[in-house]
Amino acid sequence: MKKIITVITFLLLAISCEKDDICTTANADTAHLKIKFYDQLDQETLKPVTNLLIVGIDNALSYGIESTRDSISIPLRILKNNTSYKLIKDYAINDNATPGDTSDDFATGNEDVIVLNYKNEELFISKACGFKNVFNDVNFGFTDDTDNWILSSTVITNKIETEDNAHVHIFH
Amino acid sequence: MRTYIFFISLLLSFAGFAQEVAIKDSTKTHKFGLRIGTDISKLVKTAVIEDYTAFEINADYKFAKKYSLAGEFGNEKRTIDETQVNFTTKGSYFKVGVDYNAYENWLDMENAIFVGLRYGLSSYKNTLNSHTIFNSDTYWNENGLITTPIKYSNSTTHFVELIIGIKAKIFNNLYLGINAQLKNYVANKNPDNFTNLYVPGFGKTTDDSKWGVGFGYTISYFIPFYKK
Repeated sequence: MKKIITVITFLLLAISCEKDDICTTANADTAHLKIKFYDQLDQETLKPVTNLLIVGIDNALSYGIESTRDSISIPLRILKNNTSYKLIKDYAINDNATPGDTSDDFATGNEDVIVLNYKNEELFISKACGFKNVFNDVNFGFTDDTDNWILSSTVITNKIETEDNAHVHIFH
Repeated sequence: MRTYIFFISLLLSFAGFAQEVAIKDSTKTHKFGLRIGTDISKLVKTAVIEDYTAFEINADYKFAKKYSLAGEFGNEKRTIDETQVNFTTKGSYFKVGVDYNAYENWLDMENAIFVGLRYGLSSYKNTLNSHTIFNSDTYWNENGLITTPIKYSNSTTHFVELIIGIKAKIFNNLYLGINAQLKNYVANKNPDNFTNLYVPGFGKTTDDSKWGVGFGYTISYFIPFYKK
């Protein structure tokens, strides 16, 4: 009888060890919008944008400065159906000829506004990862102004689910 | 996986051991009848654990010297809070199969060291109470916590179960039992855009395995029908 109790105790110990689920699935995170910059004249060739400042509209913070990058990855809003960004090319601070005084400094650069419209869809991944957001029916546009540096654009895929490939090409 | 190998090896040694204690005695009388009971561990967990309610009736009918027809029927409701999802599973299950009693009783006692096989069917509903959309970029300050509950359509899971345990007479016709269960699901219908993460009567499921484990402490009453 003692032997049996020992065996059963071991059994219960063995089954109480439970595997913890850790989110290790690839592409479980909500994807960023990936934009690649190409030459307007030679549309097969990547062309970096110099000193690009990225600022989300309705966001007090900037997303960052990419000095010379031919692609960017930026987050889209998951609780709204649209996201807008200011993409400022050749961003610089002009010290107004008074390097010691920052109060009269002003920013220079060519600012273009991009707008994305989409439909959000929650996609179940797993217990550990939960859900991710997928952007469907993606529509990309940029606002016309007097001196656009963005000359044209192409939407490569209207479904943003992974970050493996660029979703939008911008020509400049 | 290593846990399961350990489990199975224990099971085998258990079966071997059970053979050892068997005493050959073919002349003794056997009582045949129905043993009916409940799982005490489910009652205790219902009382102790918040967000858990369960009740199970189990029965076995001895139809041959060493074999019983056995089954369990129960209800379970459980809420599980994971990092990304908080959900409630509620439903019923039944299990039916045969137990083989490896223990040779003295006189006309009905103790059992048994190994059994079951077919199980669980029918239940999942409700997602809240969930977080996995969005690690915090630039837009949208943490993605959604607190609107989502109710999913009915789920069903079919499974097979290997059960081993003992049932010991404490007095008169009252028996106390302990058992361990190893389960594997054979068919599982997930709702759209969700996965059955907990199955009543089966237990938790994991992303990469079809195995489930469980245990029970039973109290049951034996109603003798006839002696032979």
